[in-house]
Amino acid sequence: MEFLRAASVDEALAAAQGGAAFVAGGTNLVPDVLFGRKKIARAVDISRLDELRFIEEADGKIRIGALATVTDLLESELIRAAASPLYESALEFAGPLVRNRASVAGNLMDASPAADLVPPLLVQDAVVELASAEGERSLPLSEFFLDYRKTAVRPEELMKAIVIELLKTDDRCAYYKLQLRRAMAIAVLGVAVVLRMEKSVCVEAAISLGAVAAVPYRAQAAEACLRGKEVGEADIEAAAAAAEDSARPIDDVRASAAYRKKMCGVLVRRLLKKALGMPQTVAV
Amino acid sequence: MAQMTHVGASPTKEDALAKAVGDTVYGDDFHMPGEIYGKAVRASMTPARIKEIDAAEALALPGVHCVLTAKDIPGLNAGRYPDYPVLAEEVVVDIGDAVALVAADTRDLAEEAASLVRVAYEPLPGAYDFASLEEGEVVCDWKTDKGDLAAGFAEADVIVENTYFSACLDHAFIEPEGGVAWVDERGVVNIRVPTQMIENYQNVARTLDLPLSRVRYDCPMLGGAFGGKEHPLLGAFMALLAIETGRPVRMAYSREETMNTGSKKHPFLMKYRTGATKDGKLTAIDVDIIGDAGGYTANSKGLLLGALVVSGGPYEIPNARGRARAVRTNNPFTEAMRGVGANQVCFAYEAQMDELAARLGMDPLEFREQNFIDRGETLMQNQPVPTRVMLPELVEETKKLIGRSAGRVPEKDHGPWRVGVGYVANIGGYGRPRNEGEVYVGVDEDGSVSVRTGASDVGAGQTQTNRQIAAEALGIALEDVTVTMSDSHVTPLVGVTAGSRQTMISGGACYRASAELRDRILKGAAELLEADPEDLDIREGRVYVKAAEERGVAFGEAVAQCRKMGVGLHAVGKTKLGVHEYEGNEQYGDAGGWMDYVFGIHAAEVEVNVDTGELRVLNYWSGHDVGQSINLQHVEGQFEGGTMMGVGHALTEEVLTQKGALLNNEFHGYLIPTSVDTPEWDNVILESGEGLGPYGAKGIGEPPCTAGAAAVACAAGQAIGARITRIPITPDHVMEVLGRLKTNGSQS
Repeated sequence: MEFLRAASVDEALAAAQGGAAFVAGGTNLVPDVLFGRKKIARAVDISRLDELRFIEEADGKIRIGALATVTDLLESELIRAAASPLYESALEFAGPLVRNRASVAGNLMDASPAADLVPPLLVQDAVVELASAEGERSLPLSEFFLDYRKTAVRPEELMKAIVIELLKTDDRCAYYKLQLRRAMAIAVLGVAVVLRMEKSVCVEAAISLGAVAAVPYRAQAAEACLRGKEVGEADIEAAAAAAEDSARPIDDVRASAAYRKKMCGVLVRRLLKKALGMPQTVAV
Repeated sequence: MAQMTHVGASPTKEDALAKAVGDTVYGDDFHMPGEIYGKAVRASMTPARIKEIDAAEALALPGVHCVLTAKDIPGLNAGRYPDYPVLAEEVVVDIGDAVALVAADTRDLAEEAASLVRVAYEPLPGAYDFASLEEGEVVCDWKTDKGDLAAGFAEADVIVENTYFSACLDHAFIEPEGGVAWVDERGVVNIRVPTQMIENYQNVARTLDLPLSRVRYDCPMLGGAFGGKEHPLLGAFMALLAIETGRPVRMAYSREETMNTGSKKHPFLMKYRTGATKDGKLTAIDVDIIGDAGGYTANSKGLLLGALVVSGGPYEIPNARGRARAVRTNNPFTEAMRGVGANQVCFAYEAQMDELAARLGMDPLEFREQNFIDRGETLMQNQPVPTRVMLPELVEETKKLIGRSAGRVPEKDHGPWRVGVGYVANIGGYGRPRNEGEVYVGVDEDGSVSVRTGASDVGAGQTQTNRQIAAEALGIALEDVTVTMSDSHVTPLVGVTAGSRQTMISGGACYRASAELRDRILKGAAELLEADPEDLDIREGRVYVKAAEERGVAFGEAVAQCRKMGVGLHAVGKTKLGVHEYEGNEQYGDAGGWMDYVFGIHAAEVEVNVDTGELRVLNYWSGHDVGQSINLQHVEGQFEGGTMMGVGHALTEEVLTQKGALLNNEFHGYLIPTSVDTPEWDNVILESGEGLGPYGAKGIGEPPCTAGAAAVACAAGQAIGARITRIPITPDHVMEVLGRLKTNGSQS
């Protein structure tokens, strides 16, 4: 394996012509290479490109630099205030040692269906900024994942930043990671919801699900059950049923497909009620 | 007992700081000049017949020294058990089987060479479903019989019948095995490797066809073992390669290799039928256990019997029938793991007790109290309990701490979370008949003391335990005692460090050697003090006249006097246990029960999410009669660490396999509890002084672990009002028992 350390973004892009794996925190890539899960011809270390490590508000949006770490998310007042599902997912992300190294971009590039940060980014309409020697382009996160561990990023492209919409103070949101232990666990299910309200009407709804299909996704049929409505019990039930219906999970070492599918409904119902401040009911 | 200085206190163990700062030289931290690297070629399919092994491509790589197969083994091709080969010769039955060994200049090269050894296999039909009894060979079929079972059930007003499943578990020690072997200038084969049993030098010598004394096992500190480091295979691999190449050879397993090749805890399918009268007296129990031995029988026979004798729990049940079978399959081979079968059955017999209590409308703890076994009352196989049973006292102390009885705790419910408290009682054994061991103790001319014992320090503080015992018995300061552990050319043998036995065996032998030396030193002092040795005592390094404490001499002066008098100042102490003397034990032999038992009361408070099946342990209380604590902090460590291991078995741990191959051979698929999964904690430590060890100590390395899963399962059952019938209690299982999830049959 060829290993290059880039001193600038331009140098990184030049080094990546013909394809390269960019190394930031290395928390996924290094074990993947060590255990033979990935074969890499050329690795380009971008970990010293400080210009890619930022979290800023720009043009009414939040821009998260590709090298921002998960700890950076937790230490950002902006994220805490205007991206609370993302903040909560960062709290549940692995453990402190991994959070200190792992980059936000790396969590996306790994393209695991269970990537913790993706459901919260999806409900804030994330767009990724990609660059190559040819130029730059933007790609909505909803079009980023093509299939299981497969992204639309071209081999020579570098992710520079992730841009998300700001949440407003009266947006209603919630997040939950269902996991088998309380730290260092891969998600059985990740769910994020955001409801934008005008008076009592839900004008915009976003519901995303992770670890229940080959890629994390927005549950659009479930969202449609809520949009434009004064959301009541029946709408929530319909959204929960649509979310459950949309899931295409598999059996794996963490849970059965039947369990995961059922939990999509349970958690969407629970998070919607939590977001709207409605009383929770228990099904037994 | 006289006031003790060291025993029962918590002096910090000598190795603690080095471990905390990373200075301990574990197996994989020690290097020999000129060392090269070994790697085992593992079975790529099982079961299968080995048709051909072609090493030509591997040998052609520059830097590869040799490739060895079973044909190159000069002596006996067997490890600790006759049916378990060092290198598979004709067939591979377990995914961990090694078929060849490679030595090369670097680790990467050794791995590459191993991947180039071409092995042609002919697949054979495999056995995987142990519980059906239809696929694999039944390798043991134990039966116990007590009283009149039919009459017992006829007398019962309530009979509860359930089938329980306890999953296959990994020992999950933190330190994967690694070490180095070299042939020294005399031709002696030295093997430095972590092991629970330095007696493996004998097994390796037989494999190498060398006189036993020409092989040395030098075992460093272990980073955990729990029953998973008892085999000589890694030592034999490195020794074979070192002899062949003339170079020191090191090997170190990755986590994946450790999990693929190491032993596992037996999964059990347990059918229980338990009867009681309406006033809460147990009348009968019928137990049928089937365990998966995996690819090798190993010690499955003894383990299944070990499980069976405690399968009724710590209860006096007049009529009892038991049956325990192990089935050989092509799943990972299984062995003891911190409890020798006592853990799985505790989960089952305590779930039965909770369900009986519920059916009888009785308080679960009071129901148990009515049925506690007592000294002289008999276990499943008619063995009387030999020593005091402090379960009533443990209940009293535990209840005081918790302040509530078992059951739901509705005032703590929140949202979909239901809170419950469960109490369990447990029994675990220690000490097999005829168990023996010797320990050397020597006093230097300055009065400082050396202890040499073949016990391994697996992390449970065996070094410090021996140190405290010697210091106590000799009446000297802890700093004056140095303990050398587990070097087969230096330390007398005490047998495997397992089964909660080393405080009793090694500690007992250390005590006897120290007491013998104390007597001799008193003779020297008596000369100086012109007193009778019987009128003297030693405390804090000073020998004095009991009736006139101001008359005394320093320990060192007494030692000097002994040397002047020609009194030898080294001794070998011995522990030797007796045999079973109960009627009917002939059919079971030495595995028919333990020489003594440890009893405990554990309780857990858990919350269960009835919408998702998630389970969290909020509070935990563990209590045992430990006989006598040698180091109180070690006892607390065993209570908390051991129990937490059991809690992990209740929550998340399960080795998943497909056709015998592990699906989760690493720590992100096999989940052990983290620090944030650990509940609030309190311990109840009682001391009857009736254990078989020195100062009346019992063996308590395993008993706390045996109750952890049971307590969590009972608490979860109380929280949701439904019986948990499998561990780990996956969210899937919770939803299933709540009737809220239909699956196509769980993995059990």
